[in-house]
Amino acid sequence: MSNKKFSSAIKKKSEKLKSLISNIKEKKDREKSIEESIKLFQQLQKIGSANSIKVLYSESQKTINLLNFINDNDDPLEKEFLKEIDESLKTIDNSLDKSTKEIEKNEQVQEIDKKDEFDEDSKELINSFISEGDDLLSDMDVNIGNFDENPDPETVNTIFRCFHSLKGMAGFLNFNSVREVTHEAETLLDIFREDISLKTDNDLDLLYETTDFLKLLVKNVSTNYTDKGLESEAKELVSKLSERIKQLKGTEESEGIDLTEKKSDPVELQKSDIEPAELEFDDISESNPEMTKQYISESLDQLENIDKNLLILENDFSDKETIKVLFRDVHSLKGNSGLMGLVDVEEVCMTIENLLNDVRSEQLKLSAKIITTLLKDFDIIKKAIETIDHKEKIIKIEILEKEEISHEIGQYIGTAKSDLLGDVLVEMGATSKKDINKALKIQERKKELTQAKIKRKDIRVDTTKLDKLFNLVGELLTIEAMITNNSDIKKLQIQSFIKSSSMLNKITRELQEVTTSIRMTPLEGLFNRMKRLIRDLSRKSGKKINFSIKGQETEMDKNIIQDITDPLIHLLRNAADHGVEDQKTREAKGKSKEGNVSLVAEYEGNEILIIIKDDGAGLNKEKILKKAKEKGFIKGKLENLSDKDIWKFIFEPGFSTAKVISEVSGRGVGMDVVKKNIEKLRGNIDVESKKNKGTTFKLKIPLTLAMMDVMLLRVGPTIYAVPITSIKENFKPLKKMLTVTMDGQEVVKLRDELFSVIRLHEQYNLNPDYEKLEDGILVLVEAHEKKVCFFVDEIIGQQQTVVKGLSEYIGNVHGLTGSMILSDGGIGLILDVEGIIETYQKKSN
Amino acid sequence: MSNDEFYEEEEDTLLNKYLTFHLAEEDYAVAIEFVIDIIGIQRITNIPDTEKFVKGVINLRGKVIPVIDVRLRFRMKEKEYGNRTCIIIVNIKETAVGLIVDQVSEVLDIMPDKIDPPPTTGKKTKSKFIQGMGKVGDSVKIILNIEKLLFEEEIESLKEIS
Repeated sequence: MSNKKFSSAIKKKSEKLKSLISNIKEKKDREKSIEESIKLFQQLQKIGSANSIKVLYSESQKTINLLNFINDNDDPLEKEFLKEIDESLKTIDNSLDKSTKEIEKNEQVQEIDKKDEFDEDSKELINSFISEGDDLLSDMDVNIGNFDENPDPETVNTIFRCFHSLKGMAGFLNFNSVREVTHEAETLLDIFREDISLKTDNDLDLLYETTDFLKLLVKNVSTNYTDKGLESEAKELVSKLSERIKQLKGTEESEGIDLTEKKSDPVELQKSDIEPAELEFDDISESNPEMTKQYISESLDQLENIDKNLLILENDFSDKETIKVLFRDVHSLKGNSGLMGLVDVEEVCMTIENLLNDVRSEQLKLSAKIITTLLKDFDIIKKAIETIDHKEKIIKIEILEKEEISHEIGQYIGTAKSDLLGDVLVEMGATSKKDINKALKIQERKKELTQAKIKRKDIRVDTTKLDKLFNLVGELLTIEAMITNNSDIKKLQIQSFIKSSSMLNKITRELQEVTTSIRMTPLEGLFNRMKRLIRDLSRKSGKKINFSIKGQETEMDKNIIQDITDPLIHLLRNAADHGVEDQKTREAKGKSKEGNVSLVAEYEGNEILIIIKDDGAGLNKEKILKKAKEKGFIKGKLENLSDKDIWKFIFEPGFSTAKVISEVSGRGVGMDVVKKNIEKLRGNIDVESKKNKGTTFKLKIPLTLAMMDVMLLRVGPTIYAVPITSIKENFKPLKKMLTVTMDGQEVVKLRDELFSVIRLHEQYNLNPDYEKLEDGILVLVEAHEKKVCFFVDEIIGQQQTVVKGLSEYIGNVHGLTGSMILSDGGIGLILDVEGIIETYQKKSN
Repeated sequence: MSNDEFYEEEEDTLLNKYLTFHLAEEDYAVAIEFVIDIIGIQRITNIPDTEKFVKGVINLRGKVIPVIDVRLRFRMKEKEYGNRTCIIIVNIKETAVGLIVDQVSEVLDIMPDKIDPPPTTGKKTKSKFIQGMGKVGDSVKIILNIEKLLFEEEIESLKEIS
């Protein structure tokens, strides 16, 4: 077939080459002959790679290099080189005969393989293997080159990592040739990691050879979805590598392949020699802090995913997709940990990997116990990783003895099968097999729909770079405002300038939107953690809690997500601990046995609304009033307090009506901290509750801390900014709308409503332009359903601005939430509407 | 090698240099390593509910920086700002603050052996701002401790109340 054609083409070329080489030797048409030879060898090389003829490929490569060298230099070694080229040609001829036979054999094998149905998932996996493999191997040449020039540990590590990653991926896809070769290469690199001086030039050749061969294998995979067909070459390379390893090690022991691949015998696991007690993190100091940082962040991500998937598995033991994903994550974690020298983590992961493998091959059925154990184990690993300080050398943590972990897992490998519910039902005659299958199909469908897999191409970015970008965009906006609002230019009314500046404004706004969205991530991650939290809480307390989440795709600024994590945890704990009653009480009240807690996120204008709802006992009014009295929080008459006011007391510092301080809550330091944290984000928190019906907490948080739309107001010489969202309207009052009470309180009647007037110049001790209300302007503002009118001299205009803090040195000033740069270079103070109204009301009370 | 020596020299040169300024008849000095800018007096936006000596904030190239009047900090009589009045911007503990002074003089080298410890007798409240007394030629420059200048609480006021 086509290969035979190629073999004759190869033969022809090699004949030509022989004559060309003899020309070179005799110095006949030297230059031309060299050029032609190079061309022919390049063609041979192409044929070699296209047909997976490794020998052809590598020998041609070698010769091309030699020919280039001869061309450039008049070398005394030329004779030697030409001899080598002769040798190469001979090798090619020899192997040509061999390989034609092999190609025929392989074709048969390949045909059989191709008949395998590759499902979409495998194809996708293989595709990612190919692209990642290409990337890794193309870098490899450069890295090996670097290794030659500057043999430093960084480079060795990089090369090691490349081989290791390839090995991992290959192992997962059962690409045995790749796996075996990379395994040997890895081992060799490991030796160099220990002692870099052991490297020799031959080693470099070996590494280049390995890389070339791997490239060939990857190419094979891309054409045939398998790496089969080069087994003999692989074996050859493997033995070369292991020879060298043996040399260096000086031992007879050959490494053998990863334990992962062996089928684990459950009994063996229990008996295996495992070192006791502590997880030791050795040699972290050897890897640089950059790598450690990356490892920590990657591992924590992986652990989060693992958690999420374990919870999914808990609800459906047969979810093969999730098992696959889980396996991959555990495997990566294992690999990375191994790289960092965290042998213990690696070994635990390996044990778990084995378990998952058994689940995959259906030698073991999952159960709730197993999942709980796995969750526990990963918690331990997570804690351990979180304590890694990349500056510390060795960190010891107390953990569940590794033996215990393996023992527990071993217990479940090969033990009783948890009968599938469906089978049991059929046995009982309750349903027919048909119905079960129908139901299962519907389940599958639903699962597919709910698992909205948003395939995104992600890239890791250093957050300091993002912050810098963010700041610069902010400054750009400020300066843009300064230019376009420059009063002198405005006076000139230049049409072309106005046009251009409005385009500039459009673009800068869009730029700002895009940069804000970069920092936005979906709340999904956070919500998933909450799922885990509720699950643990419900188990601890013995209460059955139904936890539903909605709106997890809602995006928020990453920094803000971090800041609301603690408040959310606290509120959910309260809901589970204090809100939801235990089963007995619920049944007695006529409620469902299971408590319901829900977490919802949705956009509301420029803010995000997060609602935490439970259908538990609700807040206890009497208890709260009692406590408030005790602590002296109640000012004024009891009867005047609305429910809303009563609920507000729980946010006072030191407030807690819990009789027993559990480990989880009741210490009375929670709610006021929650409120403070939310307010720091310029958000607010609201409570609603009904006895025996439940409690609802509403958190409102602005989408971004940095930018704000404000209205600029002038009071005397100072310019204040009020967030647009707080402003309802502004107007010039008529005298007849104004009333003054005996206490001196000014009130204005707008349509049919009455509003108090706050003179800002009094609040801030300024000299206003106008004393009489009817001469100035009233701005109706709202905060938390409280409406008031601010009296100002003038409204300057609207502006979108970057919010700047008031400098830590000044600290918190009541009534102000920040400052901004005005278009004339001055500074405007941003008013805290709610704060001002509160103080004003307190004063008047 | 020579490179290291050079760097050592650089660090040393920063170490003994002080920026001197004039305030109400006396000369003061602050270590130059804290000074990041010197600007002329400009528009200050007042912030309510702050200490008297905190005059407000200024816009320094897009950054909002608080400024304090050093005279008021020393509880001296306030003086009107003229065209000689300067703001020395210092950066300490990652906070930038501006110091309003009457007049900025020059940068001097004051060697450690020329610095006497602060006078221990007399009024306590103002001396805690003093790091040392620097002798330069015939004159004495009062070397200020910037950290204390910015962050030290006013205890005197409480004493007066009790």
